[in-house]
Amino acid sequence: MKIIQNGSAGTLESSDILIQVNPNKSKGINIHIDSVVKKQFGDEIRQLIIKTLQTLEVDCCEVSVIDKGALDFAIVSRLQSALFKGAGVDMNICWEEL
Amino acid sequence: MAFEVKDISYNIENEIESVTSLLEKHNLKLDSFVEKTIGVYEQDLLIATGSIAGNTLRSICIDEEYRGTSVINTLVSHLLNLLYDLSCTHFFIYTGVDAYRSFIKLGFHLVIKLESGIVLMENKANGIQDYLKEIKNITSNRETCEKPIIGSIVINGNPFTNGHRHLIDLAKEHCDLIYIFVVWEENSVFPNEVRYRLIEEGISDLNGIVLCKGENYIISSATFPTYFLKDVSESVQQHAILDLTIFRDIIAPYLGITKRFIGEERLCETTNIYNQTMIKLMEGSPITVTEIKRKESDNEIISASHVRRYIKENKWSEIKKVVPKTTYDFLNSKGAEPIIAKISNSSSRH
Repeated sequence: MKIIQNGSAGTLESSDILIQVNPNKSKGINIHIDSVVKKQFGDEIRQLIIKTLQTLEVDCCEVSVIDKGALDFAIVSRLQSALFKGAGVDMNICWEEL
Repeated sequence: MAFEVKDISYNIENEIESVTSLLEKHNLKLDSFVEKTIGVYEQDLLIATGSIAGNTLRSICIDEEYRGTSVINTLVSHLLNLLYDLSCTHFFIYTGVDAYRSFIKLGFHLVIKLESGIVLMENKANGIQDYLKEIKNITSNRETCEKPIIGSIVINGNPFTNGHRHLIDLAKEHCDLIYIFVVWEENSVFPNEVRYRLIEEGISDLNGIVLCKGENYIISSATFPTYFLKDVSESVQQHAILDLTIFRDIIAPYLGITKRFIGEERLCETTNIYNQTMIKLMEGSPITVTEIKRKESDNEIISASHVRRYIKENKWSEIKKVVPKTTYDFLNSKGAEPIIAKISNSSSRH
């Protein structure tokens, strides 16, 4: 999937995560994480983001997250939403298969 | 707690009134230049408000009774989504020191904290440091003497005139290296890229100059929004202090700048307040401010605003006397046509 525009999803509410996805001017993936549990789970959050990007075949983008203690499934669904918005896809997403 | 977020309409008197009275209750005000304002309500009672001006969040206030609750998360989430919708990915918050810790938890990072308690924050960690690092990288390729005297000039250049060139020539006599920061906001009739290029062409015969973009950190929507307004308000000095403190305490030390050059300002009150604030703020710091007399042509000081007036009045022979050939050629080129049309039809100061 190619990220062609800015996409964002989520909120700053407790237990949620606000994710912003932008096209990357240079190649590759750039991830910036701001989290209330960065020291304990920063690495895990990063791995989860990378895995989700791989599953959706996104190899070039900038991801910026402000995490307020979201659980894995919340991180993944917010990221998927932001990525689809960034790719300009809004129809016929088969959510169950993701 | 169920909160409702609504866009405030500037045309509906009681909506604006509830916003301004909430702000006044906490000794804040609604900046006149904000573009969007939202309100957070609990059952029709306004309990929080925040606004956007350019890429900066301002006039933010949460009623005391609701501090420490999720109201701030709701308010800021909504404001950030508005910014994202405008494709704004690098943004700032102008707020008071009381709110500083709350915004740290929302992913903001400090740019600067003023003695007055005003705080500017941005959503990028090391935003200003990265900006300065990039400028220093350009400079490291330049050959200079061992301990160069480094000066600076901030230019809008709307358009670049012989007056600007005069200031640069004078600065060169006192410095080994000069940073010229180009004001980078799309609020002037000559677009950013054009102003940059005209300056670049106008100084192409000189060396020892590093031309860079002021971007978000010098005379920008974040640091000095009132610079671009027609009416001079009390905010001008407040914003000037913010802009100049960032220059004095962060930009100048990082780049080794010890001199700043400005032209005497007799026409524009905003710029004059800025210049006088600069002279005062730099006292006692390693930075000397040199205010030079403006270059004159036919006994009139050269100024970009005069050039814009001549353009409006079609006085091309006057224009030729006060701008370098590079600017004059551009003004006569096809590329300048939309700009000239805009000037001819406008009544704005910029």
